[in-house]
Amino acid sequence: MVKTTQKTNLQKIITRFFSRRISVIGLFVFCLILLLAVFGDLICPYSPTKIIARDRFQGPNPVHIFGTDDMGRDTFARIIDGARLTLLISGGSVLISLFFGTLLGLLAGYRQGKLDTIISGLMDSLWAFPAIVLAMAIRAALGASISNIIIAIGVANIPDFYRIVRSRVISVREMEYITGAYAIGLNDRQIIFRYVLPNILSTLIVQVTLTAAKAALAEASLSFLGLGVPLPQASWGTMLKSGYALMRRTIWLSVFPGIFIMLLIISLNFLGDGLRDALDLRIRTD
Amino acid sequence: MNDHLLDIRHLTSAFLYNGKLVPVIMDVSYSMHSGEVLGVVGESGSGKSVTAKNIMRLLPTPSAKVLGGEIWLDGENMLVKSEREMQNIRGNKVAMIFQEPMTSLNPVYTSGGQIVEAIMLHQKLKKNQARQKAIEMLDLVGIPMPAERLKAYPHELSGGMRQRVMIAMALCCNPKLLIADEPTTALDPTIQAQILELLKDIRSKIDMSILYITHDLSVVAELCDRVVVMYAGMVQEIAEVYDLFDKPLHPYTIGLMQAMPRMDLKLNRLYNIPGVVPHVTQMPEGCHFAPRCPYATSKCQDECPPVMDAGNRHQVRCWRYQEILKGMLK
Repeated sequence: MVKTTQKTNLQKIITRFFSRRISVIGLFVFCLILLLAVFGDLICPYSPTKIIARDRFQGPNPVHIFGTDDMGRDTFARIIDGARLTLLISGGSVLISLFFGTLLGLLAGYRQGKLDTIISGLMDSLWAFPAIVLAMAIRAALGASISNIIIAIGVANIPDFYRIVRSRVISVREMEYITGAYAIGLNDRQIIFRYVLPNILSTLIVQVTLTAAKAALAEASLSFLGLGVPLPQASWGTMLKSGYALMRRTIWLSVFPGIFIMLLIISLNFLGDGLRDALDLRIRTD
Repeated sequence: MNDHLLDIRHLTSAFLYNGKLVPVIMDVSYSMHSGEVLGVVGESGSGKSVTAKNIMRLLPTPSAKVLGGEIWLDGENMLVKSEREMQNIRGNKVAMIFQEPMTSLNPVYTSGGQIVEAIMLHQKLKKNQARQKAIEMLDLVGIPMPAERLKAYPHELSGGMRQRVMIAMALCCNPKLLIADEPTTALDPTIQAQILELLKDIRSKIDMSILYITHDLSVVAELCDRVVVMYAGMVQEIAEVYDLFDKPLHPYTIGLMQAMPRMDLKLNRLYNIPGVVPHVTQMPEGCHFAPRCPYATSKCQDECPPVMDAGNRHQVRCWRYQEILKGMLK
């Protein structure tokens, strides 16, 4: 007799996730950044945009813990403000890549044939195209705004999801339970959404964290090149850029945004690795 | 029409291979009465499964194509049905169980969830009624504590249990025909015997025909009323099970019988039929078995024999069956 396990699958996944130090660190740092973005105003009394000329170029000190910039604005307040923008752009663009990449991947992987050849060709050319150039083109076509940056990064990352979904669908559709699903009389739509999609969900969750990190980095790169968030809004990328211009005066203006970009990307990658191991079906069957 | 539940007539079906349609089953005809258990035997690649999957139209389009013939199930030609009509028939009128119980259940749903889904797809039942029915089905296939097993994921069940769940799922809509595609091949002999026992038991309880595909002649002897022997995409012999074991008329069937391990004979080596099954692209001109047949003549090499009636509902595709029948060939 098989002894029924006390823990549900979800509990098993959570236990496995928290048993690894790397995933806990990733989750902790990511939550910290999230909390900073949401509740930052409660701990920081300064405005991110108010110019106070006499407070210019301060290093870290008890009043302004991260110092001030060339217009006397508090860097910590600007980091909090930038966190919102960075997370919004990263999250929003991931939603776009996730939706279109998954849809096209399901379609191409499941239908195969000519449709697959066409979509794969499009995706490969998109993938081979430098993301920065693509973002520049979209920005040139649509104008500079936050939503256009989200669209640009989102579109550039569609192949990430497309490729992984398509390859997983191709292996899942050959499983005998798919033939079994046809044999009980389910139609294509039911099989795609109830049999194929749930079986590739763990892969998707992991890919979301990795692409979110990639998108945050892309936003920082675009802003650093002056192609990102229009002034006066501050993302971490634009702060890094203005800090770079003033590098001879003070290094602090580049150090703090740089550290936060790094923390966000490392924490998302750790989170992704932890989730990948926790959700792995091959390990789950013990 | 006649009283046949299933009537396959001159079915020829092909697969796309290197851009060309290559026939894998040719002129396959067999029929089943309702309530009958028909065994289909033959080695790998003989076309047993392809024929069965054609009945349910489960082969992938466009890589598989039916080139000719008819499949009549319960008075309706399956080959002219639309995909939507087939969805109503699959799982309802005809159900199928598969060889690999380890991979034929969806790993992300509970076994009960899948049975409930199959029930609700074809029967107008409320969710809790369907669940009740699923419990009854699990009980019928001999799963202890069915109400609890309903919540188990496939990976929490053993191979034998999963095959029982598969059988429960197949039976839940009272199909007229159950296609069993080597359901015991992947199980160990003890469990195999249990599953066979279960199928016999179910058959005595409900009025259902079983099309049992296997390469194991002992299973056929155990379970079936009639047997179809297939080789290289063609039906070679059809006979009642006692008749077949008593008087096999096709050299291939005789070879299969000789290759069976026997308790009453002490042999150093088991007999094997010389040669291998020809590749689908290199089928011989004449009788497909001729290159491996000890009795082959030049006529066998040149001309493929038709299915001939040997009387007593015994059919055979061999030019020399009468000589075999009279015991003239040894």
